[in-house]
This record gives sequence, structure tokens and C-alpha cells, in this order.
Amino acid sequence: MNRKKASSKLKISSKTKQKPKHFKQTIKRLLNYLGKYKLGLIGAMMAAIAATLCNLAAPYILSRVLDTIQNRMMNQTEIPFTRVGYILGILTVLYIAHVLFSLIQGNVMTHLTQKTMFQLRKDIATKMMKLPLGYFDTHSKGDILSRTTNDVDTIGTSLQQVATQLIAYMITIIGSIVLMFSISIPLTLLCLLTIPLSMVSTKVILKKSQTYIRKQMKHLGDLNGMVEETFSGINVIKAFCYEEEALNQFDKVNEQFYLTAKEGQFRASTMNPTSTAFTNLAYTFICVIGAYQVITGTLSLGGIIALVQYQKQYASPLGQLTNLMNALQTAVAAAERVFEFLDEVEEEVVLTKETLPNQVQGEVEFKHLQFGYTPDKMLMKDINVKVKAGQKVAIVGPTGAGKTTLINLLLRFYETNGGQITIDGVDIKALSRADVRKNFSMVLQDTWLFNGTIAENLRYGNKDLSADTLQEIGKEAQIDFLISTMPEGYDTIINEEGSNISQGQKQLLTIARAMAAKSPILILDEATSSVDTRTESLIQTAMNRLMKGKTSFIIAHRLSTIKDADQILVMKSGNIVEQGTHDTLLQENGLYAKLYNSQFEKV
Amino acid sequence: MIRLFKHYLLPYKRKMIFLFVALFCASLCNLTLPVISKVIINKGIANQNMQLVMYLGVAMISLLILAWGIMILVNKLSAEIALGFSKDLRHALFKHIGTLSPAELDAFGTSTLISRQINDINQVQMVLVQLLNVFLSAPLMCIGGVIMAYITAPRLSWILLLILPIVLLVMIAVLIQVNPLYRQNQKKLDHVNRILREILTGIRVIRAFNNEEIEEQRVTKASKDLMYIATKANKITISLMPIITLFINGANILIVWFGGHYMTEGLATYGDIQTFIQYAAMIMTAFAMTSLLMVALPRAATSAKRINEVFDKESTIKDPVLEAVISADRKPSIEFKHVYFKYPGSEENVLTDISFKVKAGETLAIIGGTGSGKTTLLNLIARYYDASVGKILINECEIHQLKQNTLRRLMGIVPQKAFLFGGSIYDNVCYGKKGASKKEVLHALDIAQAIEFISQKEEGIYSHITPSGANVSGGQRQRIAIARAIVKKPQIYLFDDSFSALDFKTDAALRSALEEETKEAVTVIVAQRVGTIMNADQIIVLDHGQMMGKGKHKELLKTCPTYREIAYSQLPESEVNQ
Repeated sequence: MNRKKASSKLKISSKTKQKPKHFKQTIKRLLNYLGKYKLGLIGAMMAAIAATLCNLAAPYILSRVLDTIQNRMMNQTEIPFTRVGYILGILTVLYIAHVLFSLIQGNVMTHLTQKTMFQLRKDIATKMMKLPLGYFDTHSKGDILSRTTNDVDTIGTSLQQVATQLIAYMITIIGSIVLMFSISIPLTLLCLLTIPLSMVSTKVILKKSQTYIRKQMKHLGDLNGMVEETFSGINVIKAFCYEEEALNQFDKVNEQFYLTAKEGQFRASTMNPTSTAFTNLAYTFICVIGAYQVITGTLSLGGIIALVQYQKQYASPLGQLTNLMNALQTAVAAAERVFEFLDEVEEEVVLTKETLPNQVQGEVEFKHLQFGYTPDKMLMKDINVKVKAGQKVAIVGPTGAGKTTLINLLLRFYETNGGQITIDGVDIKALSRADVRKNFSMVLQDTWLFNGTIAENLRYGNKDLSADTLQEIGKEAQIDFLISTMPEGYDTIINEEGSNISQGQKQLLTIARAMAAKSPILILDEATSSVDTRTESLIQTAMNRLMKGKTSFIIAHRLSTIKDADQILVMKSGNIVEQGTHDTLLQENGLYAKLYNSQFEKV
Repeated sequence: MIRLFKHYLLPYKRKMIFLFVALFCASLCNLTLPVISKVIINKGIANQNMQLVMYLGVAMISLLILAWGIMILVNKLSAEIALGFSKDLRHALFKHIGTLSPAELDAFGTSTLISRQINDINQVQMVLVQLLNVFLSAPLMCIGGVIMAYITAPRLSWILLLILPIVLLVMIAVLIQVNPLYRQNQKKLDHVNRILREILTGIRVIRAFNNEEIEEQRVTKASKDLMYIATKANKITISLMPIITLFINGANILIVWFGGHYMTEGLATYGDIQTFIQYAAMIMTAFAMTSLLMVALPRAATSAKRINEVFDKESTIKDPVLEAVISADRKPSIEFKHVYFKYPGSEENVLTDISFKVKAGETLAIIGGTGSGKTTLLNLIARYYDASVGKILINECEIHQLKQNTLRRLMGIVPQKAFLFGGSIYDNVCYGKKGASKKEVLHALDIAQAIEFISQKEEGIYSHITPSGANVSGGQRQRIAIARAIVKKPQIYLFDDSFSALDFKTDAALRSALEEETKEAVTVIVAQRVGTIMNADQIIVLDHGQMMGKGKHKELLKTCPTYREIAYSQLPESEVNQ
């Protein structure tokens, strides 16, 4: 539907994860989500600090113990093993406390992240319902899906990682360094010197690999597009014997992806050994300079052991910090795309000024209606139609004449640019959208059914139908027989691709669903064209019965089925060019007559 | 996963061996560092020999540079192996999917095939990179660490022998718990995403039925389920690291306590203990790294399984080893001799006892309701499926004796769902005939009644079509697809309800233009509208896969009640009663 609009404003959005544009704002907004759980956050942070402190003290205490033993041995005095045992006992308690606090921290943060993800998904669902239909018509489904699924997943995994580790890492790094200073200032400074060196070299590597990774993302996109197209059109490819060409084309893209991905992967992966090398360099410094200090008597032997352990303790999270930062960056880039979606302009909520009576008659009038998908290009200039309650209105015309658009306006999927549509004399703009739509039941071109049971699908427009009524409706729509042959009957679940029922059966179900809704106005949008002709004639009878007393709008290609319409609207390029009954229009000998006669043209 | 690795890593055998050797050397370098530090403490400091300390320091620096160089090499190799592997795998899978028949493809569904081809292979490749770097080096570090620790202080090594098995058991226990949770997590995630996809496709219906809230609730419920599982799984994973740390620390306490005693007894030196602690830390780090990988493994294993499922599916339609030769001047024809068809695994026949023959210049029309077997019949002609019973002859040659490509080269097929590729209109028409001239393309488009709407486009036949042809209407798509078949100038035309999206006028004009083109060819038209096919040389009326009638329009009106019913429902009485 509405391809015109889709093509005119085709939005091409790359699925590649680029560098975030508004890093700070997005982080802030993400934090706002987490910020709802202030108490939990503070608790987790306290736990993280406590856990790290417990762990930090250990190497220092251990080194003191070893030093004492060493010194006593040198002085040939007895070693107070009871005291040593006592200290080690305290240490054990500290270690256990560390584990407990870490577990608390991890648990709380996991809870918070997952809750945040839940909230985000919920917000997305709410947003989906509030966006105007035009948004969905102008944005590619793939893009919206990728934002609402892949990007949210990315945030989830990254946030989980970042939130649970970042605080602990920071405290470990700072704490280790502080304690190292307390043992030996010059040695610590020397060790710290390797950090900027390490950071500079990682940055250089990152920068180089980034160009490859960006290229790789592009090639991955190409690969994806190529595969998607080939697989969707595989029957055509087979029909035209293009299998080999398709494989060759694929190989070309595949090779390009391989080349850039290989380089990107290699360059990015050199980061780890590089930072390891710098860590080992700091280790060497401690051993060599530490030895010198011990010899000169400014450092104890235990000091070296403690330094080595502290250095290991800060080095590993420091290395992880780069990974964490990368994770954060991906999360933010994904969050940006999700927030973009959440920030889309919502459908205007107009204050409801009027309400319709409970018993709507179904009188519909279009008065001087104007509409264009873009304001500068009016498609409809002046549409005037008056439909009495219970009338059957057929809309015909070539593709692109605006038949579907007229229905879109009637249901307020789109808002008019001028003029009025009234139901029972009430302007639909003064009503809530839900109030307007409540009066319609429709059978659309696409036979959308959701992944649920047949009964659930039939109840879609009318929740409280009894099983008996449901079966009656099934009979009326000629599907009761079919459904009853299914093993689960009305409780058969329609699977994701709807492949357990045929297209025609789906069509029948959507018709039955419309029947079940029991609304005063009926819309049939080219629905009958894919039902087989025999079933259709049966449905036609049922439909006629259903349409009795109801206003109905029918968009159909098959002119023979609408001959008995009370009004036929002939549309062309957005406007109604002819209007009348079958007989009067044939007499006029205009476009309708031409269309009608063309179906019997001798070939 | 092992199966995939076995097969697709084979070409990289030598690189793998090289990689393993390099990793071994790098581990050796890393394992030597603590030994040197031990010598510094035991010999350098004890003897106050600063010169020795300096020498050893230089040795350490050279070692770490060496280790760095080797690791760079390792990374280069692992990138080459892992990405080469995924490239080969992608190629093989793509090729394999190309050989599958529609029956198998439909069983999978396009969307899952795409995600298997791209995402699942990526998943496996990512784990492979980790496997090559971490998984191979972890055991080396672990075993090497134990050996070195033993050499350093044999008296203390019982501590490692006590702690290591416990850590191993804990890790295994956690993995056993967490694996099914992650699998469930993936399922719940898929479920949420599926609902979102559903909403997106059905947004019009949802709005029309005022069911916004219900849909919102569905997402909320599914997201909540996901939240529970994700929280559970992540909690367990996260607890693994603190627990491993607890064991490392416990080992440290034991080492200091017993080490202290051994020191007083002169059984160990200060340096020994210090070095031993370092090895213990190294071994535990190796464990921790492996545990991280273990969490990633199940996800990749699921992906590998999904990939293998596709590989395991074999096409039921096979090309003959020796192909029958049909001379180019043989006139086209299609003949069915008592053909039956049922879908594999199904009990019921979709087509029952179909027999007919169409010759060059003739048009065969097939009419009937949905599910009556019309498209299936066409699919048998194009050999998308094989008949269960009976014979099909194309150009007097049995269909099995021709290669699928030879067969389809004879045919111009216009499928029910007119699928276009990204590119210009020109490109799309050229799909029918590689390198067709502009004149040929225009001619084909002219017959297909597509010139009118194309000339309204700014760029004419060079106008861009978005992938899957989303930017042109259904009727326009159909006409381009028809032109694509016409430009091929095939011997056999197959139209599968190809005129359904056209209005009557265009339908009629197209058919009359087409007649000129198909004089020498066999034309098969599947249709719903009587108007489209009433002039065919032969009309087959199908109902539930059975031939209810065969003949010309007028004969069928008299003899076939099903046909009469269809005709009455569509044509004005005057037409039927003529």
C-alpha cells in the first residue's frame, strides 16, 4: 500500500554500527533508564567497593606475613605460627567477604540491566502503537525491525557487561595503584609509565583497524543484501538458470568481505598481545628495580611480591577496560538508533469533542476532501460522496487511482489536508481514532493473522464471542468444514509463516474475522481476488447477508461482482471521475463502460 | 560444530600446526618469566649481585618482545584461518542452497536461510577466533604452569593438585546449569522479536481493530519472560568469576601457610614461594579464560547445528548423469501421462491422474479454485517438483532425462509472485536474456504493456527498482516479470496467474499482443478469471487436483458443471449463453 509515498521518501539506513554521534546525551539517557533504580544502583556500587577493598588488602597482608617469617628466620628467632595462622584466618574471612560482595553486586546489576531492557522493549511496543501509519509506510520494515530487535539485543549484551564490570574494574585499578604507592613510590611511577605507552599503542592499532572494520561493515551489508535478494528470488533464479552467475556474484562479495574482515580481525587482535607486553614490561621493572631497592634496603622482599600481585591486579582490568569501552561504544551506537525510533513524531492526539451514539447508522459523507501524501503534491483535490446508511459502495479504477488512499482516510490512518469526512453527520476528526475505527470491520489485501489459535484470531475484533457463535461465523465464511478437519479444530495454532494454512484459507479467515467484528461499516479491499471463484461465490452470498443493513465499501477488480452496488465510484489519478450505478454508468459510456467492456474483449 | 570444523578447517591444516607451534613458543616465553624473577630473588638479591639482576632484566625484556612478536604472528594466522574458514563455509552453504528444490526451501523459509547463511556463520567464526587464540593456549599454560610450579617447589604442588580439580568441577557444574538457560534465553528472545515483526507487518489490521493495547501486552508479557530467563542465566555466569577467584585466593593462603613452614625447615626459599604463587595465578587465569569461552560455545554450537541442518537437506530433484539430447529444431510440446503428485510425507494427492498434450502454437489454460493444484501442475512442468506417478514429456523427451538447466532454458516462466531484483528495469528484463539489446528489451516491455507506465518515469527503462521490487506496484511488477520471460523467446511459456494484478483492459491488450509472440511456442496459462482464458485451445478445469473437464470454452460450458459454475459467477449471462 502507498508505494508512491514509500518510493518518494525511501529511507536508506545503514545497519552498520557506526560511531555514536551524540555519545554524551545517549549515555545520559541510558543512565536515566538505569537511574530509576537508584537504591539498587547505590547498593550495587557499595557492594562493588566493599568487594574490591576486601580483595585489595590481601596481597599486602600476605607480603607482611612472608616478610615476618623471612625476618624472624634471619634473626634466628622463633616464628609465631599461631599469629600467622590468625592473620591468615582474617584473610580467609576477607576473601569470602569479597566473593559475597561480588555476588551481590553482580546479582543486583544483572537485575537492573535486565529490568532496563524490559522497560526499553515495553517502550518500543508502546511507541509502535503511537506512530502514525505513514511512518511505517515510509520506513523500510527491515530498518525498523533491526532497530527494535538487533539493536536492543546489542544494548542488552553490552550493558550487562559494562554495568556489572565497570565499577569493579575502576575501583580495582585505582585501589591497586594507591596501595602500590604505599609500598614503593618510584617503582609505582615506573609501572604507571607503561600505561600511557600502552594506551597510545592501542589507540594507534584501533585507529588502523577501524578503517578496516568500517569497510568490513559495508561489505557485510553487501553480503547480507545479496543473500537476501538471491534467496527471496530463488525460484526466478532457477527459472532463468542463473544459479552459477549468482554464485559467482556471491563469491565476489564474499571475497571482498573476507579480505577486509581478515585485516580488521588481525589488526584488532594485535591489541591484546601488545597490552600484555606492556604489562610484562612493568613486571620486569618491578623485578629488576625492586631487586635493586631490596639490595639497597629501601624495599622488603615481601614488597616485591605485593607489588607484582597488585600490578597483575590492575593490569588485567586495564586490558579489559578497552574491551569494555568498545562494548560501551557499540551499546551507545545501538541505543542512539533505538532512541531515534523512540523520538519519532507520534500521531497527534486530538481532544475528543464528540462521541458517536451507541447505535451508529453508518451514514458516511466525504465533503470537499483534499489529501496528498506530501503537502506540496495534492493527490485528491475535491472528493464529494454521500453514502446513505446500508448502501453498498464500489470503488473502481486503475492501479494508483487512490482507491486505497480513500480507505486510509476513512479509517483515519492518514489525516486529510482539507474538507471533512463524517459518520452519521459527525466529523471524524472530532472523534478519537479508536471511536472511528470501532465502526469498521475490514478485510485487507494482505491476510495478516497473528501467531495464535484460529479462535483467537477470529476473536481479534470481538473479544467475547462464544464458541458457538464462532462456529456459526465459521460456517458463514465457509471455513468451518476446513477447520474441523484440522486436528485441533478452532484451537489450531497458525504458525509463524502461516504455512500450515493456504493463502485462500487465510483469506477466508480474515473474512470470518471481519464478520465476527459485527461493525456497522464494512470495508473490503480487493480481498476477494485471491479466493477461488467457487468459494467466492459462496462467500458472496454470506457477505450479502452480512452486508444487509451495513454500509459497505468495496474495492474490487472484478466488475461483475459489484454490479448490484448502490453507488459505483470510478477513480482516476486521485479523483472521482464518474459516479453512479452500473446501469447509469454504462449509459454514460465513459471510463467505467470501457473498463467493463474490456473484460469481454475478444482476443 | 566439530563436523564443520573437521571439514572446513582441513585446507588450513598446515597453518593450524604452525599456529600451535607458535602458541607453544609464546607460552614457553611467558612461563619462563617467573623463573627469571625467582633467580633474581634467590641469587641476585640474596647475593647482592646487581649485575646479575641487570642481565636477567635484559633477558626478561628480550623474552617479552619475543613473546609479543610470536603472538602477532599467531593473531595473523588465526585471522586467516578463521575468516578463510567462514568464507569457504559461506560459499559452500550458498552453493548448497542453490541446489535445493522449492520443496526443501519452503520447508526452511527464506528468512531463516538468510540468517543461517550470514548470522550463524558469523557466530561460529567468532568462536573459532577465540578457540584458536584462547582455547589452544589455555591448556598449554595450564599444563606448563603445573610442570613449572612442580619444578619450582615440588613440596607445594599438592596444593594445586587439590584445588585444580575442585575448580574444574565447579566450572563444569556451572556450565551444565547455564547451558540450558542460555538456550531458553535465545528462544525467548526470538519470541519477542517475532512478535515485534508480526506487529510491524500487521500494523494496519491492528489499528483497524483497535487492538493496540492487546499487542502491547503481548510484547510486555514476552519481554517479561525474557527478562526472567536472562536474569537467571546472567546471574549464574557472573558468579563464576568470583568463585574462581575465591579458589585462587584459597590456594594463596595455603601456599603461604605451608610455604612458611617449609621455609623454616629450609625446604623452600622465599623466591620459590613467590614464583609458585605466580604460577598458581597463571593457571587460574587460564581456567578463567576457558570458562568465558565456554559460555560462548553453546551459542555457536546452536548456530553450527542450524547450518548443518541445511547441509543435511538434500535436493530430491536430481539431474541425470547422462543427458538426453534434443535437437534444437524439435517443435516444443508438453505431455502429461497419468500424472499423480503428492507432497512428500503427505497422504493426499494434490494432483490425480492428469493427462494432456499441448503442441507448438497452442495455448493450454488451467483454471480452478485455490488449492485445486494449478500452480503445482506448473511446478511439475518446470520440474520444481517431481511427479509421484506418471510420465511428463517435454519436447517428446522424458523430463527426468534432461538436466534442470537444459529444461528451464526452454521455458519462460512468470511466477505468481512477480519477483524483481534490485537494479534498473532494463537489468531486470535482461535477466531473461543476457546482454539483450535495448531494442529487444523495449519490444518485450511493449508486449507486456509496460511501456506506458515506464515512459512516465523520469529515467524510463533505466529507472531503479529497489530490491524485491518494492517501489513499483503489483501490476507493474507483473508486467516487468512478463517482459523478462518474453525477451527470452522461449519455446514454452508458463504464466502462473500472472495477469491477476492487471486490470481487465491491460489484461486483454497484453494477451492479444502476446499471441503474435507465441505462435511457435507452447503457452500454459494458469488463471482465476474465465475472461483471461476463454479463448485457449485447451482448458483444464481442476478441482481438488482432479481434472473435472478438458476442452474449449464452449464445450466446457455444456459438459462441465464446475466450469459452468465458475463462468456464471464471473461473466454476464449474455456472454455465457451466447
